[in-house]
Order: sequence, then structure tokens, then C-alpha cells
Amino acid sequence: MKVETREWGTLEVADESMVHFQEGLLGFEDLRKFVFIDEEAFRPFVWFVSAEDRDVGFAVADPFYFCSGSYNVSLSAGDEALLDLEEGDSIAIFVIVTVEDTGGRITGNLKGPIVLNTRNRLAKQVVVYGASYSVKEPMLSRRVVPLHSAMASAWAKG
Amino acid sequence: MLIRTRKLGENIRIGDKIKITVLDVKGGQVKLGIDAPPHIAVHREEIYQKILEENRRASGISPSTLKEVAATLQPRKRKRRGQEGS
Repeated sequence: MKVETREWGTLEVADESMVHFQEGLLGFEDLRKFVFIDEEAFRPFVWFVSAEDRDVGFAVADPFYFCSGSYNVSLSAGDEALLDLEEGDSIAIFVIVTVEDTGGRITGNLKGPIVLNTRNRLAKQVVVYGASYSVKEPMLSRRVVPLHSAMASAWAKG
Repeated sequence: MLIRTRKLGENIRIGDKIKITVLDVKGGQVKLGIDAPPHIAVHREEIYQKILEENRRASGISPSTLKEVAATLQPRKRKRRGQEGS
């Protein structure tokens, strides 16, 4: 599948690396197809790009770059339905990263992480209730197991 | 906006699948119970707005910007491919 990007032109992306949203990201409800672009130079982030709008792309990362304790995400019945979650499925959880235009402060949205069902590539932005996580958690300086190690097979660039 | 007055314990139906019940009214706060099918997302408005705004703020990052930001975080011991900024 071909993905148009503004800076990098057309990328050929393996179909199995696509991520599908049955209910788009909040504010981007019409965009249902995204891909991970994992470049060495992006790490510890992964570029998460819309396959339908070349102006929409996010930096995403493992939540533990922004979370000093445990990170608990509970899925509602609705979340599970939209992920078509079945017994034995594996899920990946990642957060959207914001880089401030001025000052370059890096924060992660722990209040609204993205959950991906790795079996069927269905994803959903969920809302974490009952915890004090914010949409702007500052990045921690420590290093953790990076997201791309969990997603090494998630993309191909031709 | 459609306005309906409800007493404690009374409901409002939206279509045939959504029911909202007034569970408690105390000190300027109203507690609502919402029955809706799983595919209907129910969020507190302010949380919904915060996430939506943060998504918008984060949405336009270019690969070149992302590389610059990542470069500031690279551990010193790891060699990176390509040119190193000063």
C-alpha cells in the first residue's frame, strides 16, 4: 500500500503494517488508516503517519518514557469491542508525544493512550479514568525498552 | 438545545439504545447513570476536549523535526547513522 507524505514523498508500506481505527483519534475521526515509520534517527520515537492525509503525523512512544510508576490502562467493554479483542490477543500500548514549538518541551499524553490489537491491527485511542495521568506528562530522563523493539516488524519501506 | 426537566431516579431515552438516569443530586452536583451500547463512547466533556486539543497540537510533526528532537535525546554512547550535529 502506498502512503503519501509531505517530506518523504510516497512510501511503499506493507499491508500488514497498517493500523486501522474503527473510531478515529479524537479530532481526527475521519482518518482510519495509519502506519508506523520506525527510523533509527527517530528513536526513541516512532513516526505514526496517516495513510489518508499527508499533513497528519504523530510522534509516538512507549508510555514508560513519561511515567515514573506503574501505568494502568483499563479497557471498557466498548474499547474491547472496537478492538475486536479476543482471549489470547496481544495488545501494544503507546502514547502520542507533543513537542512544544517554543522551548521544545516534550510531553506524552498518558490520559489518552492508543491501544493496538496486534492480531488484527485494530487500534483505539482510549481514555484512562481514575488515575491522575495528564495529557501532558513531561518526558523522563531515564531509558526504557523502546517501543520500536515491540514493533520491529510493523513496517516496511520500499 | 432540547431541554428536559427530570427528577431523581427518572430517565431520559435517546433513541432505543441509550438511557440516562439521574442517580443523585447533591450540593450542585448531579450524578448520572448512562446505559449505552459499547460502541457509543461516553466521556466527560472536559477530558474529551483536552485529549482532542492535545491530539491537534501533536498532529503535524514532520520527520525532520522528529529527527532533530530525537537527536537531542540520543544516548551519547550509541553511534547514530548519518551526520551528527554539533
